[in-house]
Order: sequence, then structure tokens, then C-alpha cells
Amino acid sequence: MSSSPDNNARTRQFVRLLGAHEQELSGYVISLVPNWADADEVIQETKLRLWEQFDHFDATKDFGAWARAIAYFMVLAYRKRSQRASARFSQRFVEAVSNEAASLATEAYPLRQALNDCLDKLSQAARELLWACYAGRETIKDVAIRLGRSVRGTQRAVANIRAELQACIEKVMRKEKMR
Amino acid sequence: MSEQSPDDRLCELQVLADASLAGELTDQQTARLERLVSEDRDFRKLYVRYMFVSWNLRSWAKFPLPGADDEDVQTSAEGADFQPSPLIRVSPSVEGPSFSIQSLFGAAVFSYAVSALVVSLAILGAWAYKISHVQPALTKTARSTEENVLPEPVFVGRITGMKDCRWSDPNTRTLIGASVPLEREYALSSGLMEISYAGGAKVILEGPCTYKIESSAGGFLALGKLTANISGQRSAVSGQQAKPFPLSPLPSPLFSVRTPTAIITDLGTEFGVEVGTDGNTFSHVYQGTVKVELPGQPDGGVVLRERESVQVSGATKRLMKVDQSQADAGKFYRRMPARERIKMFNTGHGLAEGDADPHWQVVAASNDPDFKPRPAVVSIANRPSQFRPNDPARAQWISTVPDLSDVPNNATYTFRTTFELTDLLPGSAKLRVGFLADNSVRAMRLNGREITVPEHGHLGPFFDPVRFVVDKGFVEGSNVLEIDVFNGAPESGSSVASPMALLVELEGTMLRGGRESVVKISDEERRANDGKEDKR
Repeated sequence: MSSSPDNNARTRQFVRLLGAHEQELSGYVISLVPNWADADEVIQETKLRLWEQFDHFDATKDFGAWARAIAYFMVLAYRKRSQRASARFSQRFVEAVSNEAASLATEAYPLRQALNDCLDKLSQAARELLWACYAGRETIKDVAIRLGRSVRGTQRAVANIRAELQACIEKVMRKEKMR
Repeated sequence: MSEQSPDDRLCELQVLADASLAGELTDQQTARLERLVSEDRDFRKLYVRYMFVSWNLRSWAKFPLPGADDEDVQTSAEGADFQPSPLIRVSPSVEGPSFSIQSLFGAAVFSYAVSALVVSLAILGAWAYKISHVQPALTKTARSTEENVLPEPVFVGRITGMKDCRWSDPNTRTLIGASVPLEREYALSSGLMEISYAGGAKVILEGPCTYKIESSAGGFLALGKLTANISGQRSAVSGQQAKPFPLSPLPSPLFSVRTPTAIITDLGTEFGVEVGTDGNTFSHVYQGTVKVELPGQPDGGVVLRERESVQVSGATKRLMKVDQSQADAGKFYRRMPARERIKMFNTGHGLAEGDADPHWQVVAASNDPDFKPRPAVVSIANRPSQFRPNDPARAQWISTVPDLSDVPNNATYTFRTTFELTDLLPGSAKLRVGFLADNSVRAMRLNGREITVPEHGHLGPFFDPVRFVVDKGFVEGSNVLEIDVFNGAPESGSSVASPMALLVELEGTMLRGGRESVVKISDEERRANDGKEDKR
């Protein structure tokens, strides 16, 4: 890529669009490839492919839908070559989840906002535990061992926090819809 | 499937989804998840939403946790390693910052590299933590000739508070809530840590310091400062419950702090101890009395009363009472500082459209050298497809005009807000900033120091705020945050004017609790409590 003003503007446009849809795109991929490591790989490949194909993107169209379509093919390609567990789900599973995840895309932004609001409502201790579980690549078991707590107790605590978050998110989103 | 209660469904989903994310799904679980998701629409919806939230949680967890006390993982330079998006220094130049697509993927790789490093450090820390627990036990086992098993560690208390802790010896790091075993050493390079002994005594360590747990009622302060508070817990500490560990060189059941040059024994009190790099000891009594003696000379000590201090010289092996003064009292933290929200205002907060915002001013316009600073105006967000709706309860658009009408292009407008920080624990303030700007933020400054702003677009729609964390540049007293909003875009062509507006959400926290004010509060509270006791 040369650094002409046109290319620079194009790059900026790509970065802006990808930034605006990154979470939604990643949520879509992780639903189809439900494994952190595998999803990371597919997301990274998808981003590269999006950039390679960006000249073909029609700026009047929905970038999110275009990115999802490419991500879907990247998931299929990954499934073809991979023997890993997350690739063992059937095509029926992938299609069903893909349709559902695409329909959730419009809710991705309010969902993220709701999550932010709900995280603020959690106790500091709950936030810290959740943070420990999601900050790195540790499993809940690793976190439990690191914190010197029982694995079962930690699993239960995290499950309770997630349930609390889920209920809160639904409540906030219901409220938003009524506005 | 639908016979399950919603709670049971969520529970099963969590187990299956988390196992899958962690790569621990069994064949049986894979089949179960497959069946539930493929055949049950409601479960599928729940599953997709769970996965979206999981991903968002992981993104959220890449940022430092506001209010988190153990911040060792936050080894950031300008917080750059916590930004999920590529960062650039926003430059006021017309050309804008240089940028390449490689930086996008490079940043992602960098962010993963940093994550990996952080996780590695955490694992190393946890390993070291475990080792440091086990090490004394191993030593003791080696001594033991009667049993060939590891003795259970003896726990004497718990870590009940940590603020901004950094470790001079990473092997001694710990976590809030962790049990405190005998012979455990803590070496802080900075920050505060509170240990609550099972007997009721509380010790606040202030970094840099090195402290070793020597008994169930005391420890060895090799360097630095601590405050011990045994008030109100007298019977528990001095009574039969406070059994000194057999190996402890401190035979007294009273709470004692040993230093290289002195032994300070509580006689019902609150006191501070400081050990210098030369081993000299200083101690000040806040309440009650303590006995200070030279090691090996139990009969030669002095008794200190409230507001009295002593200096112990290692070289001369002499104890010397020194004048009590407010400076002595202000040396120590008597209470863990509390994290509090900083009082600051989002743009347009609580105002009606058209109102002047008393908390935000427009102080400069680059196209008008005679521009007079004026309050920003809450602008009507009358372009719902382009601008996030105004929400008086949260934040609203502000501008120089009340209706998003056009203002000159190719100009930079500087918005300013101020907020006060009093009794700030240095380095403890954190500010979460979220902004939307038409067209873009060219620069942001806190107290004149430039802040790194994440890359962001300059074209609408403006709905999703750019968010980042500021953790440097705060000062005690009045703080000034300035935001330069550039109006105009290359896409505007020859257009000379267009709307210009800014929406900002601010959420700040800080640790409050300077020594002086804490002392004052504590004394006032004590007098109030004394009054209550008298009335009884």
C-alpha cells in the first residue's frame, strides 16, 4: 500500500468502520467458534481478509453485514482445515447460530451499553472476580487456584455473577426498548 | 428442554459455554450443546447473547479495573497496553497523525503480547506466592525428625486492604483476602497494605517496607513504616487467645513490633513505627501507651504515652524521647484510604437544551484571536440519524450554538472543565473518559499535559463514544481538562461551515486519605466516641 492521501483516507475509513463493528464481529465469530483461542485465530484472519477485500466494499452498504459475510466464510474455512473441538459442531449448528447472531447484531451496541451499566452495579468484589476470570487466558479453575479458593465455590460465584449480569442486562434493554 | 426452569437453563448454558470457551468440552457436552442450540430457539438466543457478553467481558477486562486495589498488572506507560484499539498521539497538525494499517494488526499483536506478559507475571506471582507459602513449611519439615510430612501452615490473619501496592520483591506479593501464614514476609516498594491479625490487631504497612509475620501477635519490621492499631481489641490480643508462635523470638503475648534496633510492645494502643535504611527506629504513639526497649535489654526501655515519640539509634544503642509534634503524627497512615468518586460533570448534565453549561466553557477558537471565553451551550440534537440523543440524566451535546447550526470549518474549538481533588493520595486518581465529537478531538490536555487519545473517526454518525482511561497528570486542588474539537473534514470539500459539538462522559475515582486529614478525622471521631462513652 502506498501512502498517498487517497490510501490514507481509505485506511482511516477502514479503521473507523472496523473499530465501530469490531465487538459485534467478534461476538458473531465467538458464537460460531466457541473457543477463545480458535476464535482469536479466526477473528485475526477475518480482519486481514476484510482489509484485503476492502477495495470491493461498497461504502453505501452496511459494513457490519459485509464483515459478517466474510467472517462466515472464514469460519467455514477454519472448520474445513481444523480438527479441534470447536470445529466439531455440525453445519446445522453453525447456520442456526449464524442467523441468530446476525439478528443480534443490531442489539450489539445497546447490549454493550447495558453491560457497562450493569458492571457498574456489581459489587467491587464481584467485579474483581469477573475481571480475574476474563482478563487473561486463565480458566476459572486457574483463577480459583491462584486466589486460594475452592474451584467449585469460585465456579458458583462466577455463575451467580453472570446470572446477575444477565438479569440486569435484560432489564436495562427492556427499559431501553420502552423508551 | 422447555421443562427446565430459566435458572436451570442458564446454569446449564454457563457450564457448557464456559467449558467450550476454555477448550474443555467433552464429546458428551458437545453433543448436548449442539442439540440444545440447534433445536431450541430460546436456548439459541440465550447462547448467542451469552457469547456476545462473554466477548465483551473479555474486552472490558483488558482495561484496568477501576477501584481495584492490587494493581500490579497495570504496568502501563500512559495506559497504552490497556487500549484495545490502536493508539496515536493526536497531533494538532493539519495533516493529522501518520498511520499505517500495520499498526492496527501490530497493535493487536502487541496487546496480546502484553496480555501474555501480564498473565505470565500473574502465574509467576501465583507460583511465587505458593512457593513462599510452602518454603517456610519445607524448612520446618527439614528440621523435623519426628514426621516426614509437610506441616500445615499456621495462619494468623488475613490481608484486609490493599491500595496501589507494588512489590520490591515479587515473591512476596499477595492478594486481598489472602490468609497470612506465620513467617510470611511482605516487601512493598509502594502502596498500602492492611493485615488484620486473628487476635484483632490491625497493621497498615506503607511501602517501601519489609515486614515479616513472626507471631500471632506481631512481626519484624526490617524497613519502612507501619501503623498498628490494637485499640478496642485489647482483651483478644493480650489474653489467652493470642498465643505466640513457638518459633517467635517475641515471647510476649502482647502485640509487639520488632525492628533491627528496638522492640515496641503494645500496652493498649495505636502507634506508628518507622525503620530507616540505617536501621534506626522512630515510633510515635497516637493512643494509649507502648513500651519501647532495646533488643536484649528488657529492663532499659521507655514507656511512651499519647503523642509522644522516640528515636532509637542503632549506632549508639540509645533511646531518646523526641518532641511530639503534628509532623510526627502526620508520618503514618492510621486508616486505609477509601476510593471515592471525583465530583465532575458530564457535558450538559441535568440541563435543558439551550441552557448554558456552568461546568463547561468554550475558551478558544483558533479562527478568532479575540474569542472571549464563554459557557458552552447545550445543543439540541435535532439530527437523530447522526447524533446520539441528548440524555440530561447522563450527557448531552454542547457547542457554541444551541441548535447544531453551522459554525466555521477548519477551526479548533477548545472546551474546558475543571474539578477539584482534595486530600488526594498521589498517583491514585483515575479518570474514565468517553467522548463523541463532531468532527474530531484533535488534542486533550489535563493540567496542560497532553493526553493520548485513541484513534477515532471524524464522520458521523456519532453514537458510540470513544473511551479510554487517564491515570496520570492529576494534581491536588484544581484540575483543568481541555479538549480541542476540530470542525471540518476533507469530505466537506469547499464547504465553509458545518455543525460542531462535543459530548463527554467522565467517571473519576481517587483515593482520599492524606495523613494529616486522617489524623484530624480520627481524633475528632475519637473525641466523639469518647463523648458517647462518657454519656453512657
